Amino acid sequence: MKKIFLLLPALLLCFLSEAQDLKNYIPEDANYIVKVNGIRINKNVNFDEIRATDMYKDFIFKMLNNKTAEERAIIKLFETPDETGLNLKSEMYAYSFSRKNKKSDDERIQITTVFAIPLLNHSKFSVFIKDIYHKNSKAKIVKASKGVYFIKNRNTIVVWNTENVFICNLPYRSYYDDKGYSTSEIKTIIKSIAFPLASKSVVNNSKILNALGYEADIAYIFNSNAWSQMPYLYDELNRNESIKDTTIINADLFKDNYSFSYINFENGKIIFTGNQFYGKKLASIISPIFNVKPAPKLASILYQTPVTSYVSYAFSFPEVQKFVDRTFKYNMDTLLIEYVRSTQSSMFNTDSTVRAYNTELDSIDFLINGPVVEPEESDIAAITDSGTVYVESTEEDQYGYYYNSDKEKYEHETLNWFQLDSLETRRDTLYTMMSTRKDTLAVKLYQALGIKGDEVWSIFKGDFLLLYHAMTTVEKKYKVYEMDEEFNYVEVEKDKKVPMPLYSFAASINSDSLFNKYLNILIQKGFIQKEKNRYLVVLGDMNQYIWVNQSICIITNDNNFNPSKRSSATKSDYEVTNYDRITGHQSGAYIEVGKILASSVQFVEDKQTAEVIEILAKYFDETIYTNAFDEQSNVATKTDILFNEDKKNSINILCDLMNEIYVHFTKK
Amino acid sequence: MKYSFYAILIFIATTLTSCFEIIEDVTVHRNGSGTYKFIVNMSQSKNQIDKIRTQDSILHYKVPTTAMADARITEIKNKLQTVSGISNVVIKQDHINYIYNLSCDFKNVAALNTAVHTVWKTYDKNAPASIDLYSYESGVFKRNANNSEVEHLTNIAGSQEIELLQQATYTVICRFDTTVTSTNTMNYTLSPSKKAALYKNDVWSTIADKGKSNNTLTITQ
Repeated sequence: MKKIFLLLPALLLCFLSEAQDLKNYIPEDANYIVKVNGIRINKNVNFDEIRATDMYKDFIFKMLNNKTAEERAIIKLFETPDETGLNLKSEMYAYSFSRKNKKSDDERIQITTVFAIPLLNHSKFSVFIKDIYHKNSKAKIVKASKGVYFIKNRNTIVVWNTENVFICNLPYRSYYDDKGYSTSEIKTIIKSIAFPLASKSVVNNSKILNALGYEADIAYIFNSNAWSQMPYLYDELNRNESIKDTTIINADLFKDNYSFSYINFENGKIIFTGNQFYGKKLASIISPIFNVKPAPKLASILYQTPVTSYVSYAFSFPEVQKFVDRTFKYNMDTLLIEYVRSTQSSMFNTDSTVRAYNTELDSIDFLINGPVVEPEESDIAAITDSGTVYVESTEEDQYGYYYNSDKEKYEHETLNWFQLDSLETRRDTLYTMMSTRKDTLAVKLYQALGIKGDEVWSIFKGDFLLLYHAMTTVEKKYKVYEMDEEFNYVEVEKDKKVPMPLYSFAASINSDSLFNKYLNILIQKGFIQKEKNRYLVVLGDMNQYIWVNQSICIITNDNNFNPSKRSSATKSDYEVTNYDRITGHQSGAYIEVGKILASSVQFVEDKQTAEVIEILAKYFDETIYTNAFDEQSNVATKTDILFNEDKKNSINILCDLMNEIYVHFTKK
Repeated sequence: MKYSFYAILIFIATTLTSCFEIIEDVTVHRNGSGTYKFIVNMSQSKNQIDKIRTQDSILHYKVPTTAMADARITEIKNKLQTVSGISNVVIKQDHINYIYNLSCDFKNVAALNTAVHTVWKTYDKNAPASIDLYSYESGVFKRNANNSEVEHLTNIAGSQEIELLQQATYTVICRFDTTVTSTNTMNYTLSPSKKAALYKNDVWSTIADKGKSNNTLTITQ
C-alpha cells in the first residue's frame, strides 16, 4: 500500500512532464525546428562572468536606464530571468510550418513561425509581458479559454497557459488593409499553436524525435516534406524548354530529405555536427556525383610544400555530365560561345565592321538628338592669397546635361516624322547587324581556340585541393614622378611591398591526352610559356606557374614549389593527419585561423581593422571541417572551431572576445 | 597573323592589375611660345608588360616588339618635326621601365594644336578635322578638351577598361612667366607663386567627363 502511495506522485509527475513537453505542440510537417537546450547552456556557461563584463554592464546600466516599464522588463530578463516567469533553463523551440489558405480564392501558402518556451510561473509572466507591451496601449491581455490567455499587436500574438508560452507571427496583412483579425481567426491560430496535436505532432516521427533527443546545446532540424506539397516549386521549372526529362525534378525529389544539425559550445571549442539523410530519389542523383573522395596522389601534395591550411573537395565530373545530359537540352559549344561573346565584347568593339556600325550609330544619334550641349563656363572666380579657388557651381553642373528624347522627336526642328522613323529603323537594323557581327566574331574566336565543348567535361576528374602556404610580400620596383610645391617633377624610384598569399591549387587530370591538347593550345595562343619543368602564366601581374606531375595539374604562385622536391621519408605527423583527412572525406578544410589572422595584421593598412584582427588572432586557433558519405548515401558533417583558451566555455570566450573589442574602442 | 595595336592594348588592359600615369606639361611664355612635355609612365605595370613581351602573339594578336615601338616613336617624331612652329622634338624611350617622354618647343599654341592633331589623326581614322585644345589670347590661356571628339573611343570601353583607367592618373600642369590672377575652375590648384596650375585626376574622368580638365586662366600682363 505504501508503495502505491509512492507510485502515485511519480505517475502524476510523469503525466505532468509529458503534458508540458513542447514536442507535442510541434507539427510533424514543420519545415524546420530549432531546439535550444537551456539546461545544458545554463550548466556550462558562466553567466556571472558575462554579467561582470564592461560590455554587459554598459548595456544594462547605460543603454537601458531603468526608467520605463519595458526597460525594467528587459533588465529583469537579463538580470533575474526567473522573475519573468519564463523557464530559460529548459528546452525551448522555434519552428515553422506551412498551411494552405482555407479561402478558395486565395492560393497563398501561409507560413507560421512559433517560439515556444516553458513557463516557471504564469502569473509572473503575465506581469512581464504586460510591461513589454506597455507602450502599446491597444494591447490587452485577453482570456481565450480556461487557463489560456493572449496578447497581440499588429504582427505578433503571444499565447500562454499555465505551462508554456507560444510567440507567433500573425498572418500577413497589407499595411493598407486596416481590417483587424476576426475573433474566429485568432481562435484558429491559438488552437493551432497552443494545444497539443495528438497524432500529428513530431512525437510520431521517430527520425525527428531521435534528432531532438540528441544531446546538443542547439539542434536544427529541417525536412523537405512540406516542399513536396508545393508543385509550383518544380512545375514552372519543368515547363522550361531547356528541360529534357520532366520526371527528374518533381515531388519525389523533395520527399524524406532530412537535415539534422547540432551546435555544442564546449570548453575551448564550438562543435558543429550534422547529418543529412536523403530520400530515395535525391540520393540516387547525389550519391554518384558526390560519394567520392580526393585521390591519394592529389593529397600527396601536402608532403611537397609547407602548408598551413587547405580546402579539399571531390565530385565526379563524368557523373555531373550524365545528370546534365539526362535532365537538360543543351549544347556545350553554344554555351561556351555565349560565354566568349559576353566576356570579349570590348575586344569585338575594336573590329573594323563593328566600329563602322558604331560610327553610323553616332551619326544617327547626332541627327536625331543634335550635338551634345556642353555646359557653359561659369563665372570667373577669385583666387585667395593661399591660391585657393572659389567658384559657385551652376545648377546645370550639379545635375548634368539632360534632354527629353520624346520631346526631341515631337518638336524636332529639321527632320520630319518620316525621316525620324527611317533613322530609327536604320538604328535598329544597325544594332541587329552589330549583334550578328559580334556573334560571328565569337564563333570565330571560339573556333580559333580549338575547344570542343564535349571534351571540356572529361579533362578533370572533379577532385581538387586548395593549399594556403603562407602570407608573404612581393617587392615591386617602379618609377613615379614626384613634384615640389611649384609642380616641378623628378623621376623617383619606389619600392612597394605588396602582400601576397602563397597558394597552390591542384586538380586530378581525368584524361592526360585531352589535358595535354589544351595545354598545347594555351602555349600556342601565348597564354602560357614553357619553362624548364613548369609553365609560366603570361597574363596577370602576379607570377603563376603550372606544374603537371603524375596526372595532377597544379597552379601555384609559389616560386619555390616543386612537386618532386621532397621525399616520402619526411612526412610529419601533422602532414599525415591532414593527408588522412583529405583522402578519408568527400570534402574537408583545415584552416589555421589564428596564425593567418596574426600574420595578416602587418599587411592591413587600416589601423582599426588591424587592431580588431590582432584581438581576433589572440582567441582563434584552428578550424577543421569534414564531410563524408556512408554506404546509404547519408552524409555526416563536422566542423570544430578551436580557441586558444581551452578551459573556458566557448560562449564565455566569445563574450570575452567581444568585450575586449568593445573595451578597446570605447574605453581607451 | 592579324595585327591590331588597339586590340592588344585592350587585351593587356583587361589583364593589368597595376596602373599607369600620364603627365601633360605646358609652359606658355608671354609671347605665346612655349614648351610642351607629354609623359606616359607604365613602370607600375612593368612585371605584366615584361611577361607579355616575351610572347610573339597572344590569341591571334601580335605583340609589338621593341623595334615596332621604336618605329612608331620615330614616326611620331618625324611627323612632329614637319609641323610648322614646332622645334626641338625629343622623345626619350625607356623600354625597361616603360616610360616614354616627349618634349618639344612651340612658336605659338596654334602650332601646338596642329602638332597634337597631326599625331592623333595618324593613328585614329575618327579623329576630328581640327582641334583647338589650347588657346592663348590677350593674357587668357584656355585648355579646352572636347570630350565628344573621343567618344568613339570611350564608347567602346568595357567595365574592365574603365576600371583600369580609373586607377591611372592624368596630370596637367600649365606654367606661365607671370602670375595667374583668376581661374574658372576648382579642378586646378595654383602653386604658391601662382605661376603654375595643376590638375590631377584619374584618366577615365579626364577623358570621359565633360570639361573636367578644361580651364580658363587669366595671366598678369
